[in-house]
Amino acid sequence: MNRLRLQGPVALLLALALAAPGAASAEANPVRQLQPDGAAPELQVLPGLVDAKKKKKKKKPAPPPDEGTPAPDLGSTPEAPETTPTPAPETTDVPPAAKPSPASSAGGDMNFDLLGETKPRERTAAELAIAQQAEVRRTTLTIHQTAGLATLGLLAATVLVGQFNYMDKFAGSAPSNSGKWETTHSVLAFATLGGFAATGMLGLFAPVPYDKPVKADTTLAHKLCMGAATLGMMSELGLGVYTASREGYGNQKSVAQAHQVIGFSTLVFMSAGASAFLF
Amino acid sequence: MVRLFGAATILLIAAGCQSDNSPVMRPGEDCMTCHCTGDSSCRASGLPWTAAGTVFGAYDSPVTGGVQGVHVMIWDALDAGVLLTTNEAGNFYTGEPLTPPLRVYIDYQGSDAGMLTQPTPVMIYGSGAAGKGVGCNGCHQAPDPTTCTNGNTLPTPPTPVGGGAGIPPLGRVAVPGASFPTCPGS
Repeated sequence: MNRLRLQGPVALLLALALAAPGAASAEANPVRQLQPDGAAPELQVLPGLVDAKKKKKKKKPAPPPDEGTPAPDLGSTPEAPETTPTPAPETTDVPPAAKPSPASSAGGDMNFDLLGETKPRERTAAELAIAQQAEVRRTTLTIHQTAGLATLGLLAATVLVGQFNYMDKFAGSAPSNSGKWETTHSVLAFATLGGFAATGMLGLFAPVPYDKPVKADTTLAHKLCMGAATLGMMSELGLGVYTASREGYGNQKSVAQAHQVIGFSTLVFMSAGASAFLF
Repeated sequence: MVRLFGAATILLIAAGCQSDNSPVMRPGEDCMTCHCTGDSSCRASGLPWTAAGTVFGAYDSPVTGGVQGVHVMIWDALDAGVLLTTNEAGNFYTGEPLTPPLRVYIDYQGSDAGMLTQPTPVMIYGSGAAGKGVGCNGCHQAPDPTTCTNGNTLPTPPTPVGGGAGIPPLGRVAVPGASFPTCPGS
């Protein structure tokens, strides 16, 4: 009779639990509370199950040892006095930094003043000089960045026109050899060299008002790539002039190929060096 | 700054595009007038040619009638050879050291021809040959392709033979069936 009477609410609860987004509602409303007459039905097992789930989800801290139960004998000598575990003494010492300052306490706001009062102080002459040099460095490096990107564009144009020049001169069995790209390539090449040198000077001679230890970062990658690009630029200058001087000689094509490869490599190094700071 | 670089680049490129000194310059003229050494008239002394010229499709071709893609094979007295290819203006040139007299052959689309005469700078320029190479256009130039710069005259060239149409006449052509040396570099 009673069982039949309980099946209605239990079924309702089960339906609600299934329809609810989580099973936590079952934990919040244990079935025992729904017993009208306080009887202990068969469904009292449910809170225990819920507790088991809680234990799985949350690791409870180990309960303090019961003073009434003796500690297990782990091989201690019989003469050894029994040690009863005592709770850890409460530490009343609070670090000075964590102590609320009187000002904040007096203010009544819930802020923490961990650093204490800060007094604005005047900058020394050395600090002012450093600040001024840092500003100069910032401006110099901004110009260095802009000029570097412009030089990268010039280098890309130089390599592209150089490729056209190579194809005009050597491609196929009957190349045009019109020389229509030669002047453009030369002008672009020298403009690139000038831009590269100027940009490099800006970077090299920018003031360094503070210590900059060498470490593996994007700055080091930029410097390594630009060092390789500098070697490429210098070799391209000599190789380009030498290639032009070999006009009419049989080895001009092989020299031009070396010039071409180093040019593309220089473009790759410079692009990588620029990308180190852009991305 | 970027605009300044861009404007400077455009100006430089625009200024640089106007150049008269290129491989296609002055077809049909005697290259050795400038591409020589040892004389103040040698304005292109930085690029002295040992042999140079222009290949035209016909004796009376205009200066724009140069033939592109003609292979010119030149062998010197020491059997050193060079293989040249005419550019889109018909010009060919080399600075490789060559010891005259030279043997000259041409190859164009499978047809070969060669000069009967072995030219030397003295034959072309006479006493003014110092510092000059073999300039083909020193003799083979319009309107008379048989009169050289120093007034020497060459025998009237025969009708081009050696494979039929398509061979630009050199003024001297080989007889049919002549054997030609292997192209340098082939």
